[in-house]
Amino acid sequence: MRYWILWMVLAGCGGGRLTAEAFESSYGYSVERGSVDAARDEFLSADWRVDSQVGFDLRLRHVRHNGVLWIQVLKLKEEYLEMAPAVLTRNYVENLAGGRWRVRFDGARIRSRRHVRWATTVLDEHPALIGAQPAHLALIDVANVDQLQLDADARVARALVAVIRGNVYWTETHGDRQRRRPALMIVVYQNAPGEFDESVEDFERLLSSIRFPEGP
Amino acid sequence: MVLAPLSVLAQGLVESARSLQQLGEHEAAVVVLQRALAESSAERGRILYRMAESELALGRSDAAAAHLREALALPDDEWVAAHTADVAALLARASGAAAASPSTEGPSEAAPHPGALPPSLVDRFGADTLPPLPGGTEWSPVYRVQAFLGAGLFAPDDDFGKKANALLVCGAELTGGLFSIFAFRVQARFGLTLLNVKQFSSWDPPGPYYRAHAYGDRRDLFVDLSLGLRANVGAGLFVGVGGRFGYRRIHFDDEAEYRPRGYDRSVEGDAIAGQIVRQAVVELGWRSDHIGFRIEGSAGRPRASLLGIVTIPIVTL
Repeated sequence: MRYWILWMVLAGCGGGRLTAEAFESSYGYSVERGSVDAARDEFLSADWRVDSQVGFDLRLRHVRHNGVLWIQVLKLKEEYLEMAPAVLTRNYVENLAGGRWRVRFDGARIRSRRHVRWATTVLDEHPALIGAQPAHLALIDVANVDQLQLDADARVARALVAVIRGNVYWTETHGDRQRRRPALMIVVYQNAPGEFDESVEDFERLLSSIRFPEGP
Repeated sequence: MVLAPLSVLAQGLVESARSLQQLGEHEAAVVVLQRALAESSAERGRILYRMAESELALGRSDAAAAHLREALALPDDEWVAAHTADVAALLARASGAAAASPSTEGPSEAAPHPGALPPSLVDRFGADTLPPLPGGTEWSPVYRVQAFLGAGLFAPDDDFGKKANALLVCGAELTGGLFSIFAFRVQARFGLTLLNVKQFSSWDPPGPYYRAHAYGDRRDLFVDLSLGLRANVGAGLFVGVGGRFGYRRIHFDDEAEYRPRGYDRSVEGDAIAGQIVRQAVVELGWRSDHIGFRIEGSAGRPRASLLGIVTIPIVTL
């Protein structure tokens, strides 16, 4: 609560607009909401509710288990523009380790408030086309490093990660000139390993609900 | 069950690796087992399992999991068939699949091991080839129409006294990129003095009057236009120079007396005078896409002013 001003400021800098029909991102893409009760913050289905969007473009939480779905858009630096989606995916997962989940792609991490250190590993991966955009899918496991000292098999979460390197752009402004630069879109479904399989289908629905612009 | 025989050299290598593992020399054991894999195609499952044991001990869980999956995928390996539970348990440990349930039937398409992407996801979105990665656009100018509000001090230098007064300004301006870091600014401004300053002035006006004096609340109104050139120096900061042209109306509302030349009779009423504004302007400021601040200094006629200005973009093209 002490940080309510900061939270309000960050919330005001959100990357999009929620309507009864869709989420419209300032990065050019949109996500269809589906036939749900928007007044109750439902999204995709009655099981998913729009959660705090601070740090995310869109974040949904499941009403019955710990599952979360989120979309983040990260600005791509010049040196990453020609990098294959598979490599971007591995770099992203690597950057998740050591800090909290919300990380910048360039490796700069936001310090964990609770000093939790994560370990991540890619279990499986596959190239993909999502909305005709080049992408890469990965299944990852996440462990709390401190918990591994008690149980080497302990996993705090499993996540499906879709890294989309498509028609998603951010606007770089320098004075009175600007240009549109490619951005990296990250779509994640994360849940406790025990309930993970329950909502994999919803992750697929979320990916199918994303609409991309034709170009910059 | 009869296992496919290893070559003599491969058998020796596997036994050497086992000894090295017992001594904790896992790095050397991995090297020896790689050699054994190269020497013999028999019992690949067993060799891969031993290699995964050492890799796991070395903390290379990814490599261990990959070798164990390779072992499980071997079609006719009798050792793997006999030790599927052991291989799957080690794989679960390597890949973190707590829910691993080793199947004596081995892996199948319908029931992938716990560390695999869901088949429905791969079927729906998987692709073998990807289209080219999209690029961005080149730099292009941005034109903004913005409203501004400012306040500060101005020091007149005219026939009506030299007292400084507070000045409130507002208006609209157009900015746009020119080339490189440079941009232009066109501004239409309305200004008003804020303080009621009781002043007395006496002067010899031109025209038919030979003497006049005025006393009362003095008000100055500005309507002017300015043009400027800005340099955006980075991080939203900019500096600029320009010129301002316009009209200043000066008004005393209490009392004024004009005595026409050649007449004794006075004419009383409001005293109104005008002045052409000609000033050079310098500015220093910071701007984001949503708001801007700047300090603007000007000098000329009237003498000088120093203003703090807030700008809010209204339209961006």
